[in-house]
Amino acid sequence: MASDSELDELLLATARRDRAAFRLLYDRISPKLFGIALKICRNRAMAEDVLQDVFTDVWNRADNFDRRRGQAGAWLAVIARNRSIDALRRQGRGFLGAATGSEAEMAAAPDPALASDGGVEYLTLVDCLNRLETRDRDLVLRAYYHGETREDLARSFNTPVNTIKTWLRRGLISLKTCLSE
Amino acid sequence: MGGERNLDAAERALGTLPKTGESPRQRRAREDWELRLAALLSPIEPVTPPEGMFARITQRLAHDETRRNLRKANARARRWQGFALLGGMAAAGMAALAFLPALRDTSDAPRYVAVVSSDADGTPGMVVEFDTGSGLATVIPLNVRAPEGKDVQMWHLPEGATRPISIGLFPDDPTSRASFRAGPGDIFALSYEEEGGSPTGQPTDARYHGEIVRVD
Repeated sequence: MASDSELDELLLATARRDRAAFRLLYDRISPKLFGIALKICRNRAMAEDVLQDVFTDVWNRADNFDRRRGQAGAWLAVIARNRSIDALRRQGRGFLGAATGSEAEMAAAPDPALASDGGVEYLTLVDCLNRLETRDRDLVLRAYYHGETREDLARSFNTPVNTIKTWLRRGLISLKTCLSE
Repeated sequence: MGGERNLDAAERALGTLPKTGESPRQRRAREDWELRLAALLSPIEPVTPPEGMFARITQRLAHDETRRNLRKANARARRWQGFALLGGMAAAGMAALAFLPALRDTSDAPRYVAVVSSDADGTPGMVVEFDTGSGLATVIPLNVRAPEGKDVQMWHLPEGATRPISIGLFPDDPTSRASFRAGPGDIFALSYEEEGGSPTGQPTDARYHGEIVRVD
């Protein structure tokens, strides 16, 4: 993947309506964003539509990017994740086919190569997630990777929505505390 | 950052609470969480997107821009009543339009038409008349001349669709008509193509655009 500062520059140039920069940005980051869309949508046609949505957003909203708040790579990944979740929900399959455990594995078995590739945030986040109770962590990860709402989670865990809310918030409080340590 | 409020922001970032109706401050708090959680996406393996994806994206951006321009143009066009619209086109040498049933109709039913005009000079190239009763649209070809060695192809982009559908080559016979399913908000275009039509199934060089709008 391209270096962080290079992506930042390309995104800032895209915000200035620089089409050549937009093309380069696409070349550098589209495989990563397509990977995210495929992972979340689990359907190639849907992921292709999402990728189009993502780059339409990038072109139209690049001026919202503020490098003081985060890196371009993360900003772009968030758009890809959110658009993928939107697409899943439109299809009414937000949590179908979930619960394969892959999301939990993903967080539990971090790739050591990432640590040297700007993956410190990832390792910190995984470390903090691993300190949560298993069930609370599952809730957070299922919501994150599959777009499950409180109601979806209540059905998946066969538990009242209010209990889900309590568990989710307990998980998020621990996560926040851990991340700010 | 307040505890409860910040947890709401975290839940909006996760998607377990809706994002609608956020204040700018709430949006910032949610985005901070989103950027923090984005680390969860870093282990996902990149996958090369299909060939031609970037072209599809730029086509869509161009289409969105056309649409925005059309909206502005339509806002002006809507101020015209049926006869004024007809008069404008007649002035452009399109007297044949006097036979358009939609424009002669004196009933109170809403009338919908698309005037597909040249992006370059606004000359109408085709009129699409839409019947709310049957849900069918009829294409009325006007006067479009393709450059030497090219054909003109007609396209229909239904509202919400991302890829236009060919509705055939522009007919030589000005009295020919084609009918098909359509609705308000649909967009029509004419493109210059190699003889025989687009080799890709998508418009190559679109030169005329028009959207179905209500004419009261």
